[in-house]
Amino acid sequence: MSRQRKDDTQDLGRLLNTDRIIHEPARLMILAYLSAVESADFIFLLNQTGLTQGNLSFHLSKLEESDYVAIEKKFIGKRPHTMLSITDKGRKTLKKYLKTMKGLIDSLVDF
Amino acid sequence: MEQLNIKALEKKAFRSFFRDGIYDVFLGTILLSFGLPLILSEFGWIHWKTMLVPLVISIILNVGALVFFVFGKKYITAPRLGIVRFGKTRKRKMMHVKLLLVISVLIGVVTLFLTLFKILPVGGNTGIPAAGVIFGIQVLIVFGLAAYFMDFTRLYLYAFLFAVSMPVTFWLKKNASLAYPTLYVFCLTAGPMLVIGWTLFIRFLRQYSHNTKGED
Repeated sequence: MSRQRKDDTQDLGRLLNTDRIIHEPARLMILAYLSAVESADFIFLLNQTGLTQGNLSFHLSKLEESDYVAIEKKFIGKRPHTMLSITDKGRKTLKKYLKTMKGLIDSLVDF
Repeated sequence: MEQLNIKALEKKAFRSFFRDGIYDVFLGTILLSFGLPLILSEFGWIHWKTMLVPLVISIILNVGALVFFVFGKKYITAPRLGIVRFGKTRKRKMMHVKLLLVISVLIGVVTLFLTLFKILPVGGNTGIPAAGVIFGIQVLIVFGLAAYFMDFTRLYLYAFLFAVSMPVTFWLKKNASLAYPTLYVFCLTAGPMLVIGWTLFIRFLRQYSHNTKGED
């Protein structure tokens, strides 16, 4: 195997090591919005992302399980209120993911 | 590139809170509060000798605008668009806006006192008092900068409308033979703000019904 071909294979191999949690478009969108603000509530994300309630809840649970998002639940009067924020781990992972994807896309430009 | 996109998302999120039209109605009503007493006096319905009536009208409009703004944002916008705490950069920008508004009020108070003590000229060939010119220039600068810091594009137009309202009224009173110059000027300045504001507000209420999107 030539050296050039080996390098290319290694570059594309990074795609297989991509974080699957963040790679899902809805979860990537949620993390991107949360990285843009200090914290936001469930309704704000619902409006900004255009996801359904069920979908948003599902993806938030996944992100919480991976410790990418912190969820704070409380009651305002009798109504539940959920504040969400990106964790340091989530922010680092998002940055790393964007850098990896940018590098990969740049290497595939001249096909 | 990644930083730019996150910035654009933040900007989009912040600007989404101007879709409710509440800022527009608030500013339009404040401008109207300056003009309505003058308009009513032009119609002969109130006399400037009895300063109490115009003062009461002005206070009612200002308080009404403030109540609508505070309660509207809290009980109409927040349940529909959600609650967000923005980052440090946005907080710093909003501090700049608050500082600008304080400076604007201070300039207004100083100008008022200088006019009352007849230190500033009250007319001249154009009929525009110095206070009117100072008001126009400072509103243009303050609102223009506020529009920049808040990424609130419509505020540039409102800065212009606010700025021209007083000087043009005084100029028309002196130089044009119009029956009700103040009425025309304030219809053309406060009018667009109120029409845009109420239109956006009604559209917002139709678009976001309170209970259809809530937490489970």
